Amino acid sequence: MAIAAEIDRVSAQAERLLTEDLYWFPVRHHSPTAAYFVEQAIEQRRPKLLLLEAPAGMEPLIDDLVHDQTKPPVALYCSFRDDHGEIAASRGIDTATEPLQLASWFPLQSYSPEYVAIRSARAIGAQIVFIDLPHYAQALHGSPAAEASEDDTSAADGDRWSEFLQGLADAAGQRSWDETWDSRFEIHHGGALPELEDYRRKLSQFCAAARSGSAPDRPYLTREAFMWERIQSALREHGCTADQAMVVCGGFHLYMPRQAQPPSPLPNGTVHRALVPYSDSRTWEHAGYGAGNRAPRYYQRLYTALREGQADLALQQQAAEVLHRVRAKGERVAAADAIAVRHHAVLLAQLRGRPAPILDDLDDALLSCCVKGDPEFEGVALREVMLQARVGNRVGSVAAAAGMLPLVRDYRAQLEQLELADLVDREDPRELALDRRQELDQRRSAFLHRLAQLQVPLAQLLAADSALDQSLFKERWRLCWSPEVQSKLIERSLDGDSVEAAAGTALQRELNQAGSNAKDTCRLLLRALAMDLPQLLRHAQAACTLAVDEDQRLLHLADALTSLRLLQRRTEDATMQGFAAELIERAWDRACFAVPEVAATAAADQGPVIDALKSLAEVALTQDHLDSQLLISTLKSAVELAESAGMRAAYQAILLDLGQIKIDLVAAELAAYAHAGWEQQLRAGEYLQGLLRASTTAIMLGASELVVALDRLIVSVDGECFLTLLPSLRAAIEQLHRRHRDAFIAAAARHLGVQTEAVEELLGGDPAAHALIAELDQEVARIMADFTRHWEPL
Amino acid sequence: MNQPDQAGNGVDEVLQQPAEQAYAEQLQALAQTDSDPRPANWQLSPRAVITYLLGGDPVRVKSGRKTREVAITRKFFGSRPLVERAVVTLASERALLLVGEPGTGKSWLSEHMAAAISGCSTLTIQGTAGTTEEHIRYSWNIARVIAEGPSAANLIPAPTMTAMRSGTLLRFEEITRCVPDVQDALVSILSDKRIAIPELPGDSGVAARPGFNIIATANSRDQGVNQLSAALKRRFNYIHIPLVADKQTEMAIVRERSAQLIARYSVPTPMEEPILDLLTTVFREMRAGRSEQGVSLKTPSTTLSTAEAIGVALDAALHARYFGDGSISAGSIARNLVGSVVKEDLADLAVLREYLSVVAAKRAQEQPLWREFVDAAQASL
Repeated sequence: MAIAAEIDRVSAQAERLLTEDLYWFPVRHHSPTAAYFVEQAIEQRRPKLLLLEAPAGMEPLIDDLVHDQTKPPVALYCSFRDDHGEIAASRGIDTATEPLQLASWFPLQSYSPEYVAIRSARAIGAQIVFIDLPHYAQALHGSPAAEASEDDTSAADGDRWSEFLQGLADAAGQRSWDETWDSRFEIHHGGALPELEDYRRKLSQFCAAARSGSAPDRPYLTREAFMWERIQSALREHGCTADQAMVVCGGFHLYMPRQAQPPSPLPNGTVHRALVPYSDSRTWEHAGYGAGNRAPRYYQRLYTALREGQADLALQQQAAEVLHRVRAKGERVAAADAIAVRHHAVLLAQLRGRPAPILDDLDDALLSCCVKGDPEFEGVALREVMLQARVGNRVGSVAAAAGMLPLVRDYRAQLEQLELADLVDREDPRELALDRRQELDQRRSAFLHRLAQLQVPLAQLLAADSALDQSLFKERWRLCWSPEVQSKLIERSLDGDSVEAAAGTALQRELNQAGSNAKDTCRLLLRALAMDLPQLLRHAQAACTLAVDEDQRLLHLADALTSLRLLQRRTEDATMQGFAAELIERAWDRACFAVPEVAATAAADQGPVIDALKSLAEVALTQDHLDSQLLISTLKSAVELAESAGMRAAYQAILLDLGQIKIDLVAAELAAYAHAGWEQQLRAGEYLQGLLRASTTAIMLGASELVVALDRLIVSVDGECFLTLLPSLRAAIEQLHRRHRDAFIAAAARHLGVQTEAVEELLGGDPAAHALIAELDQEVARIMADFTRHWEPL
Repeated sequence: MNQPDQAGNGVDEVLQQPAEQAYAEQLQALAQTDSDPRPANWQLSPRAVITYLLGGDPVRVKSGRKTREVAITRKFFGSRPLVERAVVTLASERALLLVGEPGTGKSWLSEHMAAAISGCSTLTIQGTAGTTEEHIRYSWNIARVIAEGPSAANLIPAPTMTAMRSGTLLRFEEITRCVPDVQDALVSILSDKRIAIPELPGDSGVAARPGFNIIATANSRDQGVNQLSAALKRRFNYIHIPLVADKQTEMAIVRERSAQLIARYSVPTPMEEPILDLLTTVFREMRAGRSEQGVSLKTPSTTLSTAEAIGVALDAALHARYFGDGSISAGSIARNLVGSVVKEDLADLAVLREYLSVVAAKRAQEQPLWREFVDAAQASL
C-alpha cells in the first residue's frame, strides 16, 4: 500500500509540473531521443524565451555555435583565474605564489539536447538565456571538482551520485545506469515513437520518482537556487509571461526548490570564454569526462535514424559496421553470423524484458556469436572494433569567424611558419625527429619546448625520463592533437599574447617558486636554453648561482651538476659555457661536502641517495679539472659515519669504483657477517643491496670474491635466519642489470662447479658455426639499430 | 531388503543424484509459479532458468491445502550476463560450447542447465580419444542384426538420438578430446536437425523435435588437441567461463560445495572460516603468481582451480575423519595441497617451496594457523 501511495504522490507531483504555465522539458546530456523531442517541443510551442541549463555567461558564444561552419563536437570552454583568492580561501588552498586557475568544458554533440535546443530556438527567433551556475562559481560553493566538466544531472558528489544511479540499475536488475536509461528512453521498437507529451510525462515521472529516492546535497541545491533565481530574473528582464517561456534542463532539476533567494555571488577573477573544437573520443565517458556517454558514435547514428523515421535501423547499422570492420581485420565472420547476432540480440532483449534490443544486447550477442573462445584473447580484434564503432573518431571544428585570442593566433601562425600545421591537426599520434643543429629544427624544438612549458598537450618529448638519455642535438617528439590543446592555450593566454611571452612568464613564475632549490633552478636553466629564451636565461643564471651557494642537499646538488654538465655541452655560447664551468666547480665542492650528511639515510630512502653518489663518481671519473680527492676524502669519512649497513656498503662501493679500495676488503666484510651474531647476520642482505646498487663495474670485476663471501655466509647461517635473509638477498641480486646479473650468476656457477657450456656443446667447437653466429648477431644488431633510428620517421 | 550400513546410509542411496533429482523441489516450485512464455519443450521459461541457476527470492508454492516457501539457492557463481547469453543460445539455432580452464564449473553449469531446461541432465556423451561416431549417432544389436537383419527394433540409439526424439538437451563433455572426424558427425545433426539411418531402406531417419540442442564443454587447455573444424565452430556459440575473479565469491563457492561433499562423508565438524580463508588465499596467490602483499612468485603448471581447492578441502576432511580428530586443520590442508600443486611437473615442487619460504613463512611468524600450515607442508615435502 505504501508503494502505491508513493506512486500516486510522485505521479501527482509530475502532473502538477506538466500543467504549469511555464513549460518544463526534461533532458539528459547526449540523449538522442531527448534531442529529437526537444526540437519538436520548441517547434510546436514556439517560445519567446528559452531558458537552458548551460553555464550562465556563455551566451555570447551562441552566434559562433550556430554558425554553419561550426561542426560539432565542440565545447563551450571557460577558464577562470582566482585573482583575489576567494575560491582558494573557501577551500583552504594556499596560493601565495600563484592564483588558482580553473577550467571547464561544456561539450556538445550534434545530438546533444542543449545544442539542438539552441539551434531550434534560434531558428524561430527566440531569446536564449543560460541558467546554470558557472562551474568556477560552483567551486566557491563547495563543488569538489570545478575543473571537471559539466554534468546536468550530477549532484556535487560524483561518487555518491554514481552509487545512486548504480543503485537504480541494480534495482532494475541491470548492469549499468546507461543500460537502465536506454531500456526506458532510447528504445523505439518497430520505429514507433511515443507522442511528444507522452515522452515528457514518462520522463518527468521517472525523474520525480528517482529524485524522491535521493537527497541532493548543499552544492547541488545552491546550483538549483541559482537556476531558479535566474529563471525568475530572465522572465522579468525579457518581459515574458511564464507561458511564453520554456525551460530545458536535466530531468532531476524539474523539481528544484522554488524559494526566492538572493542571487548566489559569483567570485571575482579573470574569466575567458571560448568555443573550442572537441572530439568523439573526449565525449566518451571513459576519457575522463564525467557526463560523457558510453557510445558517442552510436548515439549519433541513433539520432540520425530517429530523424529519418527509422530508429530500428541504428542497431542494425551498428552491427553491420562492427562485422564489416572485423572482417576487414581478417577475422572469419560470415553472413550466417550476422543473422545469428541479430537473433541472439532479440532473444536477449526478450529475456531481459525489453521490447527491442539495445546496445548492451548487441554487444553480448556479438561476443556470443563471433568469439570462439576467451573474449580477452580470441576476442581482441572484435572488442577493438566494437569500441571503435561505439566511440568514433570525429573531431569538431569551429567557424573561422569565431574570435581567436592572440595566443591562439600566434600558436597557429607558428605552426604554419614551422611547417608543423599538417602534422598536428589530427588525433592519431605522429613522431617528429629533430636535429637541433638544423636551423628549422632548432626553431621547432624551441617552439615545442615552449608549449611543454605551457603544459599545452600537443607534443611529448620521447625518452625524457632521464635528461642524460637524450643525445645532445637530436630529439624525438610525439605529436598528437587533442581538444585540450586549444583549451590550454586559452587558459594560458593570461600569461602572454605569444607562445614565447607566455612560456617566459610561466618559466619566470617557476623560477620564483624554486627559490634556493639548486635542483629545480638548474633544471629550469636548462629548460630556458631549450626554449631559446635569452632574457630568461640571464634570470635563471642568477637564480642558479644563488641556489647552488645556498642549497646543501646532496640530492639537489648532484641533480644540479647533471643539469649544468648538460648545459655546458649543449650551449654553443662561450660565455654560457664559462658560466656553466664555474658553477659546476662550485656545485661539485658543495656536493662533496654534503656526502657525509646522508650517512644516516634510512633504508627505505637510500635508492635516490645512492644514485646521487653514483652520479658524483661518474663526474669524478670524467671531469679532470675537478678535485676528485675531495670526494674520496669525504667518502672515506662517510664510511665511518654510516649507521646502516646499506649506506656503508654504498660508500665503499663508490670508493671501489674510484679505485681507492680493493674488492677483497668488501668481500671480507661481507664474509664477516657469517661469524656475527644472529641480529647482525640479518643485516648482510642490506649490505649486499647497498653494494650492488652503488657499484656498476668494479663489483662485477670482483664478482668471484663476492660469491665466495656470500656462499660462506649462506652456509653459516641457520635455516630460520636464511629464510628471513632470503628476500633481501634476492632483492639485492634482482636490482642488478640483467647483464650484470648473468655475470654474477656465472661467477656463482663457476664457484659451485656447475657451469655448463651449453652453446659450446651445441656448436661442437666448430669455428665456422661460431663465425656464423657472430655474423648473424651483428646483422641483427644492425637491423635493430636501423629500425630504432627510422621507426616512423618524418 | 536394503540394509543400512554402519554410517546409517541406506543401500538405495546413491553417491550423487542428477541435478533434476537433487533439486527437484526447487524446479517444481519454479515450474508451478512460472508464467513467462517457454520455448517448445522447455520445462521452464528462460527467465525462470536464470533464477534457478543464479538463485532468487523464495517461491511460495501450494502443497495440498498448505502454502510453503521454497528457497531457490544459487547454483552457479558466474556473472548474470554470461548465464543469460548461455541460456539464450540454447533457445536459438546454435549449440552452446562452454570453454574455460579446468575446474571452473563448466560441467556443473551444463548439468544444471539441462536439468532446468529439459528436466534431464543424464543424456550425456563423454568425449575421449576413443569416442566413435556410433557413440554419437547410433549402433546396432549385432546379435539380433545377424539373426534378423537391420530393423528399427535392433537399433541402439545414442544419447543424441534420444535427445532429438524427446526434444531435450544433449550434454557433450570434453568435446575437444574427440578426434575431428567424430566431432564432425555433429555438423549434420546441428545443421539438418536430423540423423539419417541408411541401413534401414525407406527410413527417413530421426528428426529432432523442438527443444533439442547441445551443450558441449571443452577445457581451454585442450583446445589445441583437437580443435573444432571451422564448420562446427560456426554452429556453436562459445561462452568462456572465467576463473573466479574475487576472493569472497571463491570462498563462498568453496564453502558451499565442500560443505555438501563433507556432509556426504559424515565428517562431524565443518571447515572453520579461518581455514577456509587460508585455503582460498593459498590457491589464489599461487594461481596469480603474486601474494596479497604484492610479492611476485612463480606459478605452477597446474591450474589450481576452485574445483581443485574444493578437492583439497574434501581430502583434508576425509583425512581428519579417518586419521585425525575429525576437525579440519591447517596442517591437513597443507598435507593434501602438495598433490594438487605437484602433478606432472616436478618443477612445481620448487614453486611450492618458494611460496612456503617467501610468503607463508613470513605469515607464520605472526599467525599460528600459518605456522601449522608451513610446518605440515614442509614435513610433507
